[in-house]
Amino acid sequence: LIPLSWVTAAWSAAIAACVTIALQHVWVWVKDRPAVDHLMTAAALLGTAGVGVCELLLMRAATPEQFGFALRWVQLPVAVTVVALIVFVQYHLRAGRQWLFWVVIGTRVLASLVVNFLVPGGVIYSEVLRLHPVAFFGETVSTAEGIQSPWILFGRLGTVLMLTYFVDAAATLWRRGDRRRSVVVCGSMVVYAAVAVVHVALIHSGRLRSPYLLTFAFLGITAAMSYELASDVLRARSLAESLRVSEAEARARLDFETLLSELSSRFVNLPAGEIDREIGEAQRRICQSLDLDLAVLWQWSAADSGVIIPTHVHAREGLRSPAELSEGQFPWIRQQMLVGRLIAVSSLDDLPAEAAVDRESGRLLGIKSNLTLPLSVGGEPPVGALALNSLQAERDWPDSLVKGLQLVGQVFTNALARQRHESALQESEERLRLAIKAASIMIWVWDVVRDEFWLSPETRALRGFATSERVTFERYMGGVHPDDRKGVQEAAEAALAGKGDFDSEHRFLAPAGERWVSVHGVVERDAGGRAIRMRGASLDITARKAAEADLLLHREELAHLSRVTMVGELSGSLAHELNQPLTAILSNAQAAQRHLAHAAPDLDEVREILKDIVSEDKRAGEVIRRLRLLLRKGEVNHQPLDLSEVVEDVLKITRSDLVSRGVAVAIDTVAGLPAVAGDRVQLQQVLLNLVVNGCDAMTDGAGSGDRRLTVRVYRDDVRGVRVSVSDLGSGIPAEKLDGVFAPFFTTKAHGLGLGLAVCHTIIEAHGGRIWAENNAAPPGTTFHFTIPFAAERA
Amino acid sequence: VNERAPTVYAVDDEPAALKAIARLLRAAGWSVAPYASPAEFLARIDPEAPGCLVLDMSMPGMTGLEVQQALEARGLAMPIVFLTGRADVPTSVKAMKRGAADFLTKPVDEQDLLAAVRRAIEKDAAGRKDRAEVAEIADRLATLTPREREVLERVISGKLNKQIAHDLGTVEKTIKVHRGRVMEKMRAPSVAELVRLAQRAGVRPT
Repeated sequence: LIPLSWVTAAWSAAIAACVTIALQHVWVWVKDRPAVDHLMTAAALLGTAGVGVCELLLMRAATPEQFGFALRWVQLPVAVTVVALIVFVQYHLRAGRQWLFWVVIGTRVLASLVVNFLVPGGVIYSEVLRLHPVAFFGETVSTAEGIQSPWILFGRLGTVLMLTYFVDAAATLWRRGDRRRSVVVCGSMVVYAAVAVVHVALIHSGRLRSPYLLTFAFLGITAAMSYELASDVLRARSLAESLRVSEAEARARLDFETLLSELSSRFVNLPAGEIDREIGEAQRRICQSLDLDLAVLWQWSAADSGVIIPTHVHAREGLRSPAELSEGQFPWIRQQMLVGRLIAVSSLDDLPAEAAVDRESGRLLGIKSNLTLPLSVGGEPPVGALALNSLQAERDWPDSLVKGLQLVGQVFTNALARQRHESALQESEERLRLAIKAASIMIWVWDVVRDEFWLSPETRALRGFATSERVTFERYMGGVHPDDRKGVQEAAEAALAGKGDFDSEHRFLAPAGERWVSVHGVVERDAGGRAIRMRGASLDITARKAAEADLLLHREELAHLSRVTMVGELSGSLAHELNQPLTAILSNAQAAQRHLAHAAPDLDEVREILKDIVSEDKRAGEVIRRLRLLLRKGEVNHQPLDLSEVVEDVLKITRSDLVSRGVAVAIDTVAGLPAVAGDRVQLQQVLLNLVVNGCDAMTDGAGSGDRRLTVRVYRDDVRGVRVSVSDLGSGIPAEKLDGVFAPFFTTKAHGLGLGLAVCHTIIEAHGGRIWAENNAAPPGTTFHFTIPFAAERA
Repeated sequence: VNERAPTVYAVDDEPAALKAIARLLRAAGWSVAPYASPAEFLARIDPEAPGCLVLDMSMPGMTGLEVQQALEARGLAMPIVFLTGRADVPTSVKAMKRGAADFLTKPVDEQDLLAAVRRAIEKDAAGRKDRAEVAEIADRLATLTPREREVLERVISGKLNKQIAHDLGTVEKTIKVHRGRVMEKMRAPSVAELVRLAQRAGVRPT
């Protein structure tokens, strides 16, 4: 039995390890051809195995010729390994200077493969003189003494360049912040290569008698490469997983946003009679989309404001609608709704202790999770509540979902408010009609000379004068509301002075409370023209005044409603604005997935993509924020404004609508205009109306076909800042020009006819003027409005 | 046969969407040329380059349909994959009638987009091959003398040599010689093949 030499065993084990790992990398490369880094790792390993074989031959050489032969041929696997290493650094780590890369490859190929086989003896020794057997850890191995080839310097130059290349790559990675790879991969290359270089140089110069140990240096480097490739695979997998999750979330959000925008647009211009049906349909779709089982809309009864009743109930198909639902079942929730507080519980156990009754009722109904939203707009008392329940499983209510559902709640609230207001409006008109019918007309005569009133008994009773009491002008004036006295006095003096009849509407303080009266009187004169008597009649107009005040309140509601309507008309445009960022997000995410499917993903690119996804997501959020701002039904808030900015905001909202309708917009603003005092949202609404009207005028088939809208903002010396919106439509017939601002004037098939009326109200409230005129040439209409400078109003 | 690699041109006025779509196409291995405006694209396009166009429908200045018309007016038969923000049936019908390769709604899924691009590139390659063949036949036709052309027009209408000789006021033997030369110049091994070639090049029988 030949005793096993440990030198043979160690080198053979290293060679076998290299070949085995190399085959694994080759297999990966065959499956994934672009993975050049695996191919290079395999090449480096096979080169190392070759070096191992040659080193064994060198140590076992029996003659100088055998030694020289092996020393010449070891250059071939060395060259293969070195080239594979630097290609790996270039392609996998993307580090190292390109020119240095080519220079290192060039010198190594020239030195090891060309010069080595052309010059006599080889690139190391031109002649091997004799062998020196040396003891190497208990065994005898061959080393040699020879005449160094002059070309050895060329080989060393190549080695120095290679080291430089590795150091440069390590520095680049370090600067990029990729310290781990800089140290593990490039660092190990530098250290092992440097040790090997010094060792080899010592042998060649004759200062050290030792066998070559390159195999183990290369084995160290290739181990670092394999480690790097394996850890990349792990990182790619975890990134791909997180991307998959974020894409799924983006998709779910897109579906939900689409549902919201569809629901909101269905409620626009919906006749009051269809609101109930549409709310039921919306409940059904929300339940379907969110996998919920029971939706209940509760409303405070119009007749008795303390009572809340379920008006719209939707139960999942196959589920029996609850037989009984009443406010008594949910006293705590009812209380929370009254103060406008939202309830979101994943489990009924999350309800507080004081909600014991509510919890028990929920259990009886089989409710697992509940979300209840108060239905109110702009801090007004809630009109009701929307409860969404899951009966099959407990679920969470993430913030984004709750916010979206609150938007639905607002849409419902507006619709319900509109339903109520329409009936309220009818009621107030009815009241006015009855009041006029029932109005008692009171007759009176004033003897100017004696200053005494004759009044009918009913009038005396109503006004609070005793039957026999003498009523003078002064006594009469005593009953007039202090704020109105001056006006009545002036009207009376004017009538007496012969400037027409006496006409006045004023408040009168009567025993039954304050009454509004409309008074008309005619002066009678003697032959000399002296006023001797005034006869007249008074009409109680208190009811009419009350109705007018009501109408004023409703007008604010209408302004909000018309804003909602406008947004509905623009919903296509807004969907488009949302679509752009969503397109970018989806395509970016899918591009990133493709990158990550590679064995060596370009992680810098993936990082860039994720950055873009974040910024596009923020952009989508911005669109929603702008929309919400426009829909806000807040109080009128006058503040100094730059009208040019308002114009730009509105054109941003309408941009894609204009583009899709082929309308070009020219903005002409004068820089440095003084600020005006106004409410941003209201003025946006005016502009939105004028811009949309202008577009409609050009795209309804009429007009010259050239679709251009011009918006100018400039100084109007008389009235402040003026904004003019000109279209190239067919214009408005001259006889109708004055009527366009009247309510219910419309030329559109689906228009409400309220837009311009609301504009008129808003501009008047700002102390400005709004008017329309037809253009001379080319045809079309220009709407102008002016707003006084902020300083002048203050 | 054109050996150049196909290019996917992408035109969208929205920079973020353009960048993302170009990225996706590149990641799928296509060579992509993105343009932020139709005008720029029309100024730079190379009629010889094989490829297809991914085009946004609504852009300020020039709509997708107008770009399609502009390409048509220049005689460029590049297949177009339209992308649109809203599913607008009349517009899509109009685009498809004019030969659009596909019509996709944004946000577009990669499977739909990549499948549409692949189909469009294949369509482009087939079209180019077809046009190259017609051009090749036209080159051969141009080598015929006027008399040979007259003979060709009569051969493909199925006339016998004798009839042709009578038509052209010469003898059958001469026609035979001409006929042989026509077959040779047109590289037609049979009369049936000659008829096919003439038909493809638009030669009318007399």
